Amino acid sequence: MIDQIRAMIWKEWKEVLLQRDRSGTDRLLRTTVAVIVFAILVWRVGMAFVDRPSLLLMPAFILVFCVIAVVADSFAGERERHTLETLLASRISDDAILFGKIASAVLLVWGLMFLMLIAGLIEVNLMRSADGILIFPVHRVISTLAFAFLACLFISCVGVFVSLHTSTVRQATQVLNIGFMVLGFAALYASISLPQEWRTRLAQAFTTDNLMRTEFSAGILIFIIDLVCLAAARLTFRRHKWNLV
Amino acid sequence: MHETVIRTRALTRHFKTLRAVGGLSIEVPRGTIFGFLGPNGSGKTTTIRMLLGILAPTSGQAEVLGFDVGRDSYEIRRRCGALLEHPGVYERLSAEDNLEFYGRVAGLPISDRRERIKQVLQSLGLWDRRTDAAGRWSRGMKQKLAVARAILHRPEVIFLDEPTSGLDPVAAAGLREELAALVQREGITVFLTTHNLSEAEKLCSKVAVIHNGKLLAQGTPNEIRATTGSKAASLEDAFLTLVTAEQHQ
Repeated sequence: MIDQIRAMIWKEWKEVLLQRDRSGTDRLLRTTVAVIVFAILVWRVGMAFVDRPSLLLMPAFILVFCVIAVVADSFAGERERHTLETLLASRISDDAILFGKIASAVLLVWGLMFLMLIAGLIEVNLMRSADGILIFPVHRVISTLAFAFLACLFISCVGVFVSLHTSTVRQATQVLNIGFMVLGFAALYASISLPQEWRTRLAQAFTTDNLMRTEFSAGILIFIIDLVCLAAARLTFRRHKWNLV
Repeated sequence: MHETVIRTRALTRHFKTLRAVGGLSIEVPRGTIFGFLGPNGSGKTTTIRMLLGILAPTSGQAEVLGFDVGRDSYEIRRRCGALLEHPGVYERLSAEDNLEFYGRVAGLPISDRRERIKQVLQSLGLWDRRTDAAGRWSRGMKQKLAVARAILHRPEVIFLDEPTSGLDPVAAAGLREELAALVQREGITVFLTTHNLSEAEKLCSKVAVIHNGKLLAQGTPNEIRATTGSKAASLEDAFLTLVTAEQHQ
């Protein structure tokens, strides 16, 4: 099955990265705009990009939308382009299709985030060359990458689930964008609506002394949620039980 | 005596209240081109989907190469190739990459894979355009690429769902010739659905006629003509007689 998952990732990446239905100029323009926006953001926050923990997650917010764009296409795109039925008629297993699609989105976007962190670090160092070489605190980089990975996995699992049940990529993208925006606003509203005592406790959990313990607990919680989402997607995607085409 | 590679017994599929296929019992001998004939919406594609294990039957049984479509569908898909309703090619990828992906999925070793891709593309006259994005190709070329994909892993049986549909007469005739040559060369059993009766008459050694999900007749083209009880001049006349009689019942 590993070989089939690798084949699936290879195909997905090739379709995303070597899209031949858009002109080279168009792709170059989009990439240039994204690079310029990110460079301006890093320039504006300066040193804080390296030493303030929360700002390390800045690229993650940009990449959430990248995960949604990739993962919305997973099944809805294949259905729209009439390639899903042929894929299902091949010997590839259900799990290889599902895990291959999730893994390709997670690894692609997680890899991009890693590159953005490196690019941001280089930019900050170039701006502050007089202060010597600046690097991220190691535990901060590890926790940032771990959280980004878990978040990408969560969005991918939910995205695949939505993509399985929608007939077009546009529909899947809309459902995911609106869904995650509602989720974000709900979390924000819930956090400001908490009683003062709870908010104080929450603030204490994020102080330097308690941060690692809080991160570890949150990481375990997100990991369990990811496993539940993965299991739900796996139960949903059984080619002979559903009329998936 | 011929070995039977596809056998169905009272195979039935309902979609809510609609009966797409009802009580279908057919037998397909090894090494033949079997024509599965019927008008649009008669249940041909649904039957292929059930035989490939991508759609569960409501009732009845079906075996392909001795494997049950419910229990052993993975083994069936491992040994069969398919060109379904749409060519199903990845249009952003090149022809070579399309075959590379399905070759990897089929577990062909890298050296054999490269050799086999070259062989099938050359045999279908696509080798010179192998690096083009498949999306830039004509419908006929995409159909040929889909045939190349279907036979890439040397299957014992291939399912072709209206392979010449939407092609101009010249491209359709070309693809028919390629198919006949491929069957001779590779010794594959072909399950071919079509509503093009002249195509079936040219290619198939055995046919079955289906209408509204119900099997009307099966046998050699000559036997089908005989079952209608008329001195029908062609398979098309026999087919129309069968379908019209069924509509009046």
